[in-house]
Amino acid sequence: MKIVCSFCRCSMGEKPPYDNLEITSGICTRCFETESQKWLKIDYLHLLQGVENPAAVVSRDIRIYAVNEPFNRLLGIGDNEDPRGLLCGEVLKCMHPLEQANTGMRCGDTSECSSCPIRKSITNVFDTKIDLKNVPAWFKTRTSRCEIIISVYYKGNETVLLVIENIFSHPN
Amino acid sequence: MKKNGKILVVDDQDDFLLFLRIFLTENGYDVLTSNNVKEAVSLFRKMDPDLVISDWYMPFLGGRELLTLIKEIRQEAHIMIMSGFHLEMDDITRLDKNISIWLKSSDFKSLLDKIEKSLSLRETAFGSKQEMKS
Repeated sequence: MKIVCSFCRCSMGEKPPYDNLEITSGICTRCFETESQKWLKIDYLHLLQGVENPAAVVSRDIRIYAVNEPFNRLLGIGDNEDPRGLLCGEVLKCMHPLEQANTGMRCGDTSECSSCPIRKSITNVFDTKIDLKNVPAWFKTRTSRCEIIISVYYKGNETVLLVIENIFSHPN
Repeated sequence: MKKNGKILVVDDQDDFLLFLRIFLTENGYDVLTSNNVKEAVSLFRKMDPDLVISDWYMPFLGGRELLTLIKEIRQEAHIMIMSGFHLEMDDITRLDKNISIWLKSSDFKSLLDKIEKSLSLRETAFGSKQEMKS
């Protein structure tokens, strides 16, 4: 199935099933930014400006709105990948939803999710509207346990800024 | 922020889904999203949204299938079909006033207007039912 941008009609590649001749329409990165400036109240990229550590703008349901370049580098996200719209655990490649994917479970659904220190910190900041600074946290990929220090800043309008302040073991 | 209604948005393209999630949330709606029909039907059953906004062309199961499945669950469900391409759906929209169409490349103010119209139709219908009961 071919993908084109609804606005500028540029090609955005293909996705399965490749024998489906219909065309699905999304929004390319450039048009996303143009339309965001026209229609969205918050400039999500602006929230990341000046943040040198890996950082992401995250929604209440722990979905990624925007990330900065250090965040992409840390997680090995390539130029052709776009983490926006994905759940945090999907971007971090957290092992828990991955291991239970066949049951339809996603980040937030597994029994381990309620004790996830990243999720707990984000939810806490949404609930209290008080920033959390330098909180020890971790997440597990299939090959490693990543120890990190995070800060979470309340940015209003259903968003927080998640900053990875320090990393003691990198995700493989 | 006052919530104006619960909307389920379905689109296989996560980029568009994200844009609508942010846009509609900022405009006071309680937004649920899904990038596939199967999950969307399950969310519809579980969350009982006021309005479903769905893409038409999606891989595997598309907007047509979603429309059929949702109408099987709740015949009076309000559904807005969106597409990046002009759709000839007069036959469907003429028969069911609870189905509307929105072109993805239109301005987003028109989306808000259409949503308001759908939700007010739903409220009117709901009010009439309540009156008949009493």
